[in-house]
Amino acid sequence: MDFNILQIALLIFIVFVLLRVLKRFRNNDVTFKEWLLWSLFWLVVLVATFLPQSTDFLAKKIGLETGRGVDLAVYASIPILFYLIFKVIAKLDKIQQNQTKIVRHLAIKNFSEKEKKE
Amino acid sequence: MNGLNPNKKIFIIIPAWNEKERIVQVIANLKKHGYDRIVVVDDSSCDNTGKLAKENGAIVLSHIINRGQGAALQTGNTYAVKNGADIIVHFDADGQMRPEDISKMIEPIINGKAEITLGSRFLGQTKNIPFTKRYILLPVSRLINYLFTGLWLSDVHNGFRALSKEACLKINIKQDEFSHATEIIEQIKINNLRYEEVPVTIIYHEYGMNLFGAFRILKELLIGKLIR
Repeated sequence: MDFNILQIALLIFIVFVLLRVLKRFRNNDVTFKEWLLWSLFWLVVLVATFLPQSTDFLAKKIGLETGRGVDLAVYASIPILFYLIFKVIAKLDKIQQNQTKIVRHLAIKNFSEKEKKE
Repeated sequence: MNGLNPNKKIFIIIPAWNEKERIVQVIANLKKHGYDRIVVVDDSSCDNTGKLAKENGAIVLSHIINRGQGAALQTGNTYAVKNGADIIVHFDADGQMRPEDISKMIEPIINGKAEITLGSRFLGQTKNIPFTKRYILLPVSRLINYLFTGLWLSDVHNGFRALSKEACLKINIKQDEFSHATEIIEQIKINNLRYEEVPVTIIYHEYGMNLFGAFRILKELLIGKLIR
């Protein structure tokens, strides 16, 4: 069976990611459910990398005119990426708000403490 | 002493960032008019704004990192309410506002006619408003303000306001940067606060907020609407 360079590069990357997720699970950084979901996701990517035709079936089922799995992957990733960007912006906003609360709390606390000393 | 109203605890909140050139004069002018509860929120200035303010008798609350004008105002509000303020006045550190206007700003609150007052340049005698600011930036700001808040005001974003303690408790500024001005007006509407516009005079030393600043405000408002 011949593999192209892209497939080999992806294989190395996927194995690396799977090992990282496993390590994080062992260190209790991720839950069992998260580990299982991420591992399944990357295994699906692995199958799609070496058997690209296997995804064509799904593309046809969904009704993509080209019937190519790779197109399905591209189309699906756009809304997912938009959603992830939204999530990141929302999270960032929350972090900034919390940061402001801490800065505010410290400003008032430090002043009160200095006032007491003086 | 509290200006014209010795029975009311009036706190003047001044958000300041790198204002060493004018802060001393601003504090001195306020004191001259009888306001002695002056809270300067030093938003992590690189110069000695905080030190100068303290030496001149202001209460200085120091942000350890820069969080923006909206955040600084909320810090001042929180401090003032905790320390028994009856009326809270938002005032600029750059000397564009006149302390003699404060009594006009707080009068409707003392008389019970309003819970919050907003300074208006266009009802007053404001001089030297740059041409593009008067005829382009400000009318567009008014429109955007109306679209976001539903209140059609004669002026927005000049930063001169007075709040009763009760209004201050209801208004929680979450927009850390410049769009807090629109957010406050939105909260007036949401909380059904009685408000009044009061003519004030703003003396322009420099242009202030430019077109890019206005776009930044719009961006902040849109993101705020989208994710909160």
